[in-house]
Amino acid sequence: MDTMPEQKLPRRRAAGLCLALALGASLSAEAAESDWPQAWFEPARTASQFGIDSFSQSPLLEGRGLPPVERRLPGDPVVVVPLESMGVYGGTARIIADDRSMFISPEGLFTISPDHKTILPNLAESWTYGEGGHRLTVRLRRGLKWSDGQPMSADDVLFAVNDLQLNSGFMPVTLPDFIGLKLRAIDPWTLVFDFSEPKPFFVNYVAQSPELFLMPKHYFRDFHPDYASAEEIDARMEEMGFSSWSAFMMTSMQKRLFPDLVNQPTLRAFRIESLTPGLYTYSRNPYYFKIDPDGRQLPYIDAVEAQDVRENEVAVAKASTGQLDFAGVRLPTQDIPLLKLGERDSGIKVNIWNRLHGSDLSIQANMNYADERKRALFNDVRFRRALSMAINRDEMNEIIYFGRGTPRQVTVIPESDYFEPEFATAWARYDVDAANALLDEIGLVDIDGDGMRELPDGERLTLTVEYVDTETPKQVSMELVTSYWNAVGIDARQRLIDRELQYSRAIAGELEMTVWHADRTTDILFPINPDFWAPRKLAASLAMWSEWSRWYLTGGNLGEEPPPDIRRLQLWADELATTMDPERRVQLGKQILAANAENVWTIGTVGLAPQPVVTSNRLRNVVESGLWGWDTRYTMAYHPATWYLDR
Amino acid sequence: MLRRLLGMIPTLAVISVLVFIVIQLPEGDIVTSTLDRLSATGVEMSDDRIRNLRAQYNLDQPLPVQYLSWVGNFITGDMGFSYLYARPVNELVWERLGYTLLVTVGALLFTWLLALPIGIYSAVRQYSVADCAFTTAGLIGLATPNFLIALILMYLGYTWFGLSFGGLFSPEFLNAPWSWARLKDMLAHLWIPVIVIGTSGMAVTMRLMRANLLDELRKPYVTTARAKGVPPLKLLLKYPVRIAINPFISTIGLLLPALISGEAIVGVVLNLPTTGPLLVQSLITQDMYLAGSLIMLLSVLTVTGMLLSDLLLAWVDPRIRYERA
Repeated sequence: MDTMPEQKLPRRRAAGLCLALALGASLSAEAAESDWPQAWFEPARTASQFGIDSFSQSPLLEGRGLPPVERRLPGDPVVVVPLESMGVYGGTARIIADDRSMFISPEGLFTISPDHKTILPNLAESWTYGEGGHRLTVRLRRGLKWSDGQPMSADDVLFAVNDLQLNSGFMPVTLPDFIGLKLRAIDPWTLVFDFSEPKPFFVNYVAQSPELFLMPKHYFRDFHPDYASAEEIDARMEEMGFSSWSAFMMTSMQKRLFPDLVNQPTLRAFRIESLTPGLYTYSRNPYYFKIDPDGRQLPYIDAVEAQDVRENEVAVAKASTGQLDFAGVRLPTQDIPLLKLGERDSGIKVNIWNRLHGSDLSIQANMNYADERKRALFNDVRFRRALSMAINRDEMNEIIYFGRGTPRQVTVIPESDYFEPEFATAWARYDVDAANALLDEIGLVDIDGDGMRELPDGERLTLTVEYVDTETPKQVSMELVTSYWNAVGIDARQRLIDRELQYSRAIAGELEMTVWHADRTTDILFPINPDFWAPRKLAASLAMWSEWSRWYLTGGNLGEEPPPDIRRLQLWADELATTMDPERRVQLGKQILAANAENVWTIGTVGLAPQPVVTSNRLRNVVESGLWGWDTRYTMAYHPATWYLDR
Repeated sequence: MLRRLLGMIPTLAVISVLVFIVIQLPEGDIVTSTLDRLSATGVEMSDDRIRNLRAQYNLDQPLPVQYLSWVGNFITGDMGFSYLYARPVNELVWERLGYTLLVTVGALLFTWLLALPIGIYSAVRQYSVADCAFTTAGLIGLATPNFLIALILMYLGYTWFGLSFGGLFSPEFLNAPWSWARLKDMLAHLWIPVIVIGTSGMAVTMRLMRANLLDELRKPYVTTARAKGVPPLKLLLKYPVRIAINPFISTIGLLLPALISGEAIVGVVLNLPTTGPLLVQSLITQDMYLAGSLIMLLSVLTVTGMLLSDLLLAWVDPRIRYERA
C-alpha cells in the first residue's frame, strides 16, 4: 500500500475501508445460482401445463365488485415458480421512488432469463423468425387485460410502434432499431414485424425496452391526432399544462411520476394509486396475468409505498435502519460497511449483487481531438497501453471495492458467449517499468528534470480528464488513477464538469479525456449495441471517437473517415447485428472485443463491482446475489411479483 | 406610497430578464438533464434521443419567444409548466406552500421565542456565566452546517423516538386524512426541521438583540428612569427593549422570500414537502418555468416584503414617521 496517496482519500471513505476490513468476513457470502428454480431459465409454463384449474386471489380484492378472479386472469395464466416458498398475501412494501422499476418490473412481450442471455416469452407466448431473419412473427397470449379490465391485443403494439415510434410527428429522428421496420397484425393475437435487413436480436431489444413496444391504445388514442380531434387534444393538454400531445405521450412512456399516471392502465403487477409530494402509493393490479403454482394470483404483496428520497445519504440511512423493505439504486458501493452495521439490529439483510458494468470506469482519450499533438499521442497504441499499465487495479479494488470487484478492462461479462479471459486482462497488468519504457519509446521524456514528462517540442505534457461524477464511484477512482499516472511522470489533472457540458462536448468531440462507465456487457445488449467497442453512435458516454461515429452515421458526409482498423469495427458490428449464423456471430463479437483488448481504445479499471441491495428480513423470495444493471433491467429476471412480506 | 408601488414594476421587469438570462446561460436544458436522470438507470444520453425530446417538448423555439410567453403567463398568474415534474408550476407551489409556511413560521417562532429572551438576558447580565454559555451555544449552532444538524437530529430522532427518517409524516400517515393521530405524527416530525432551521438564525438574533439592548441600556434616559425608581422589569421592557427590537422589524420583510427558499438545503436533506427542494431541483435541472417562476415569486415577495417592513417600522417607531413629515 506504499503507493497509496493517503492524503487524497476523503476521510469518510478511509473510515469506510477500515470498517470494511473489520467486517470482511461477513461480506463474503456468495449466493448459488444453482438454487434458482429451473423454471426461471425456461419459457414459463401455464396453468394448463401445471394442471391448475382453480384460481384464488388476495383477500384484499374480495367484495370490491370485481369480476371473479378466473375471469380477470387470461385464458391460460402464466405460472411463476417462487425462489424459496409460496408466499402469503398482504402487506405494504416500503421502497424509495427510484427503486420502483426494480420492485415493480416492466412487463413486455418478452422477458430475460436469469442466465442473462436467453430471451423468454412473457406477454407473447411464442415467436418465430422467417424469411432469413427479415420477418419476426409474434403470437400473443389470449385474454390478457390491462389494469382497467380492458383487453390487451395486437392493437396496443401497433399503436406503440406505428403510431408513435414510426410517426415522424412524434419521433422526428427515428431510433436506429426502428429504421426499416414494418409492423402489421394478421389477427388480434398475431404480429408480423418485417425488417429491411435481418434482425435476429430484435427480440432482445423488445425484451429489454418493453415500454417502446406497448401502449394501451384504448387510453392513449384520445391523445393522438390520428384518432382524436385537434381541439379535444388541445383542451386536454391545456388542462394538464403540457405544451403538446407528444410531450404528454413521451412523459407517459417514460413512466415519469405525474398525476395522469393514476388513470393510465398498466400490465405490471402494481398500478399507481396516488401521488402526493412525498409519497407515491401503488396497489395490486387485479388483472395481473401471472399466478403461483398453487393457482394464486400474483403479486403476493398488496401495496407498495414509494417515498420520494432525493439524497443518497437519506436513502442509505433509511435502508440501514430498517425503514425500507427493498433498496438498491441509491445505495453507493462505498456505504456497504455502514449498511452492514444496520444488519445487527435493524432487521435487514445487505445482499451484495454485482453490477454488470464491464468496468466501473471507461477512461476515454479523444482520438479525434483538435490538438494535433494530443491527437497523435492518443492515437498511439503505446501511449494508451502505457496509461493502462500504470494503473494499479488491485489496489483500486481493495481501496474502493473492499476487494469485491474484479480488476479488468472494458469488456463483456465472463458469462457472455463473446467473452475470452484475455479480453479482461489485456494490458491490465500493473507494470510501472513497462509503462515508463513505452512512454520513453514514444519520445515523452523529462527534459527539464522536474520529474514530469514533456512533449517532444519541450512543452509539459498535461492530460485533462473532464467528467461527471455519476452512477459509479468515478471521482475517488480518478483520484487514484491520476496519482498512478503522476507516478510515471504524466501530469494528469481532473475536473468535474456539468452533465450538459459532458453531453454537448462529447458529441462535438471537444473533450480531451473523459470517464464514463461501461454497460451493454451482456448478451442481451452487446450484440445490438456494442457502443463502447465500435464507433457507431454519438452520446455523452462515448467521447473517444465522435468524428468516426459521425462519419458512420452520416454515410460519410460529416465527421472523419476512420482508419482501416477502426472502420472494420463498424463493419463487424453491422454484420454481428444482422447475421443469422450463430457461429459467425460469436466469431464477429470476439473479433471486435479482441481488437479492443489489443488496442486499448478505452481503459478499464475495476468491473463487476459490488452493488448493495438491502432487503428487510420480512421480504422473502429475493435472490441473494444477482446481476445489477440496465441490460437486464435490474430485477426483471428474478420475478419481483413473487416477493412477499412474511408476518 | 403609490410612487413606491409603481417603482416596483420596473424593478421586477429587470429582474425577470436577468432571471431568464441566468437560467439560460449554462449549456444544455431540461431535456439533457432529464435524460441524465434517466441515464442513472441506464437510458443513454444519445444524440437521436435528445433531438426527439427537444422537438416533443417544443424546446426548439427561439429564446425571445420563450421569454415573452413565460412573462406573459406569469403576469396572468400562470407560472407555466414544469418539465421535471410534468405538472403546472402553480399546482406544485400551492400543494407545498402550506407545509412551507408551517415549517418556516414554526422555525421563526422558535428562534424568536428563544433568542429574544436570551438576548435580553445576556444584555442585562453581560459577561455572566449564562451569557457566555448561551453565546457559545448560539455560535456553535451558527457554525455547524444546517444539513449536518439535520442528519444528526434525524439519527437521534430515530434512535430515541423511533421516528422515520425525513419528511413531515411517518409513511403510514403520508396519505391519511387529517386526524388527531396524523397531527400528532406531524408534530413529532416537525420539531426536527424547526430546530434545524431555527438554530441557524438563533445566534444572529441573540447577538443582535444583546448588542442593541446594551447600547440602549447605557443611555442617560435609562439611568434617569432607574433613579426615579421605575421597577427594573417594567423599565426594561417598556423602553430599551422596544427600541432595540426595531432592527428586527426592518428585517421582517426579508422573511417573506425566506418562506420560499429559506429551508432549501435542509428541505432537501430532510425530504420536506416544501418549496425549497423544488427550487434547488429546478435550478439543477434547468427546469425553465419552474426555476424562473419560483425566482420571480421570490423577487415579488422580496420587494413586497421590503415595502411592508418599511410601513411596519414607521408604524412601530414614531421617530421615523416624524422624520418623514
